Amino acid sequence: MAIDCNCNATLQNLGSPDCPPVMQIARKFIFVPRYDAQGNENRLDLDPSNINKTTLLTKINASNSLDRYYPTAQVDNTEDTREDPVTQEFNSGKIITVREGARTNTSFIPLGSTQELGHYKSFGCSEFGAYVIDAGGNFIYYDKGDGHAYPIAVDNETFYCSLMKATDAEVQMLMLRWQWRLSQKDQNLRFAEADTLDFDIDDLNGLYNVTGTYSAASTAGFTLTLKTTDYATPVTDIALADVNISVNGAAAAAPASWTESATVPGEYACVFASALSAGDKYNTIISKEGFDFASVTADEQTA
Amino acid sequence: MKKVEILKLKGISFNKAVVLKMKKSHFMQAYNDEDLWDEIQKLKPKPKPKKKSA
Repeated sequence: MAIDCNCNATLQNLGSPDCPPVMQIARKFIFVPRYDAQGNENRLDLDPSNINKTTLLTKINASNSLDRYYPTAQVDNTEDTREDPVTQEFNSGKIITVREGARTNTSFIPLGSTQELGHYKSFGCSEFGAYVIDAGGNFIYYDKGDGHAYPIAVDNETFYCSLMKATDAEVQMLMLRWQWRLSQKDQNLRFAEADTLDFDIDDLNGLYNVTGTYSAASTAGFTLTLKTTDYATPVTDIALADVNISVNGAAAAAPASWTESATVPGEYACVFASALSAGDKYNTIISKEGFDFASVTADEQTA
Repeated sequence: MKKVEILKLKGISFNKAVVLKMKKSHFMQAYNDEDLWDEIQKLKPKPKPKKKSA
């Protein structure tokens, strides 16, 4: 009996449409922790389908890192090939397949930064999988036959990334390489066709970490300058509705005002709803799509 | 999500519900603007007249 066989199964029918939809080369990966914050496998429902822009943006912006999805930058020159199977040859000349070869993915991120490299390095440390968006905009997932779209499991111990410095002929790039888990069978790969999706590859992007610097703080309010942690670019357009203040660990509540500076990009003046007492502790809680304000939230201030 | 009603006066973005409840001492400490305080007080809903008892 060959590998991947079921003793009770007969031969299966081989009807094939004239023009079957097929996967194309990968253009973006969405890395997903294997388990969510509740300890359940991260997955998307298929019926009704949760593979839509609203669900994915909610996942990408999830406050808990275990619930969060992590889209990569767009990748190029992807090669995703399975090694030849391991075989045993007998004296008769008969060759039996012992196991399938491992499937290895190698992708490049053109103009990837060293800061990004640091973030990618963290992915080798825990179990995760990946959804794939291909060049045709199809959303590729792993089907276990239970009505859910799973990320394709990555063998995190094989995950490797490196910086490829610019040369006279090539720009700086990041190289990402991993093996898919041996348990992931090619015949279980499925995809939601681009025509059925309400998003495209440009809609799904990873979050920026944000760092805040306080100044002019008093019992009445403070000034906060927000910049991306890795690139020090100002974080603008944070609106009053995006901000809450928690005082002495109490439930977060809206401030009286939150005003963006007209002259300094990323600088905001905040006034508390009511005056604090000297020594009161407060945290600024901000949420805005596309940014991770966890370090700002954790940065407790004293009035 | 609860909708925030924003009040923009003199370039400041106020949370209308919150700023209408602010104490004057805190308001003046934060903004130091009596005219702005007066302008905001005008936005407070007027109390309903008491019903006359029969």
